[in-house]
Amino acid sequence: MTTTTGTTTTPMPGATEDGGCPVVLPVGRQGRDEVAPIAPLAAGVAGASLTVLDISKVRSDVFADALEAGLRAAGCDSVDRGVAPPSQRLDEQDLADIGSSHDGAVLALADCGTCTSWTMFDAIELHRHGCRAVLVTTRALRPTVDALAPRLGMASLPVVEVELPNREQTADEIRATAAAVVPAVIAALTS
Amino acid sequence: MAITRDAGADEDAVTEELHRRGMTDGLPVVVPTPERVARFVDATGLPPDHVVAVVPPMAGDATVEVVASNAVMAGCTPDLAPVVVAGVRAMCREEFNLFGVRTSNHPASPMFIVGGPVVERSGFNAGTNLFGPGSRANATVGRALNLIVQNVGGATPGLVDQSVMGHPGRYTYCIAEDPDTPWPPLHTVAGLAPEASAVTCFAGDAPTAVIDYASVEPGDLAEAFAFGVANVWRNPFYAMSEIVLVAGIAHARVLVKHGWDRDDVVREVGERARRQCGPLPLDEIGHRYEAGLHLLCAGGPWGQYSALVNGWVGPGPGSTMTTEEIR
Repeated sequence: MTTTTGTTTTPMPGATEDGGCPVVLPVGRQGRDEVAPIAPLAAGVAGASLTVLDISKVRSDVFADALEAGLRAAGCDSVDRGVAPPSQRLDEQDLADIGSSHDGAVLALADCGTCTSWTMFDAIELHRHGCRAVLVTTRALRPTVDALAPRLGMASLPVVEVELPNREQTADEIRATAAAVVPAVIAALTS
Repeated sequence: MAITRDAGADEDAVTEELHRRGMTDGLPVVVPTPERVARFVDATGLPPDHVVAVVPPMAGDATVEVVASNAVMAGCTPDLAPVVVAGVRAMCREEFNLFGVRTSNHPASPMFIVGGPVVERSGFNAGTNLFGPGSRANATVGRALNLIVQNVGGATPGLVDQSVMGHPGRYTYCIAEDPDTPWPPLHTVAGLAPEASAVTCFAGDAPTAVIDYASVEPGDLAEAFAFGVANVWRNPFYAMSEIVLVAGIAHARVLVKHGWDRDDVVREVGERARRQCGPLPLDEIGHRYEAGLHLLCAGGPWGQYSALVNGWVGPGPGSTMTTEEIR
């Protein structure tokens, strides 16, 4: 069997020796233009301007609060807060504003389908706007992130993962999860 | 069409390979041979490399040729090409937010509502067993569009498509509006002429039945619709969900007999749902729940059944229903 996608003809496993029964594959070119990742904040987070973007789902503010507190405790005294919409992208002006006023951004916790896909999109767009963005997601969603991120323009998007979604944890458990992940977030921002 | 034994065996191998590569919905497909695809491409009147739309979530180029390949696999006949092309455009418009709809944990999936002269011309079923099997046009157009989301958009079930439950409409979800609709066709709400043919795309959960065998007064019938609407509005996790009210023909007769036009039905259902609910979760931000009710007429001619199709996250933060003219 031989296949064509657009103007390309390629052999396909199972092809007959005479190349019989060609098909036009039902897939085409995929992916947005590549985005160059913003370099790590080599000087560390102490003097950096950071923002924590809350994905604004159930108890996500608890995670974001604890993450912000952890970053401050680690020596970053310039951390502010914002919101990443869970079912839509950030609009272009918001991305530009965040990018122009922050060295780094942490988007958390991407623990459901759309809030992961759109937040991942926003994180990549923040790199386009000059801000080193880190996505915090769950282990279960990591394969989704790994599959989608290259098509959205950045295979090397900095990602940190946690075990469980917020929705399956109490507030105290969420705080503990967020506190535990702070070193990994700082590492993703700086190295 | 004569198919030799060898050719048939070869097509079986191809089908298995397409399944293995995750390019099907799990059902058998028609092998997209160059000849079949070319016939479909010709029927669009567009060049094969013309990009109809970029399909989320993976930003896949839906060239006419690739659209045709998926449509052939779904079993679409070439005469349905303009409907498929319009459907691709409708679901890929930015305000529909296919990126969000098909990466969500929510079950919603694009539901396509075909209206206008094309319904009868191309054999779409707007009648009995509206959401069910039996119509080649409904089944294959809906299936083609779902395959395009999966194959061109890259919404691989279980990987990028993260719906927890999904629903059967993710195989195919295409209905048609009654050609003799007592209200102006749904696409007139989007500004198209009544005589136009169009595809409307709505991010829909599975349909639920509205059953009322007894009501002969429109207000009583509106109360039955409102019961289902109120169930959605009360749920704070159905954030701003829109709802499509599919009035069965018998129910529509009761409403029309008393002179209720589309606005009357929507307003009366909305007011009754409000009364059933009391204060609603999004009142404090001034959300207009009633603005998210859409009405059309379809279904079998006898029997007092209608349906509601609840949506995903509604316009603004979520998905806006879109309509594309079929040309």
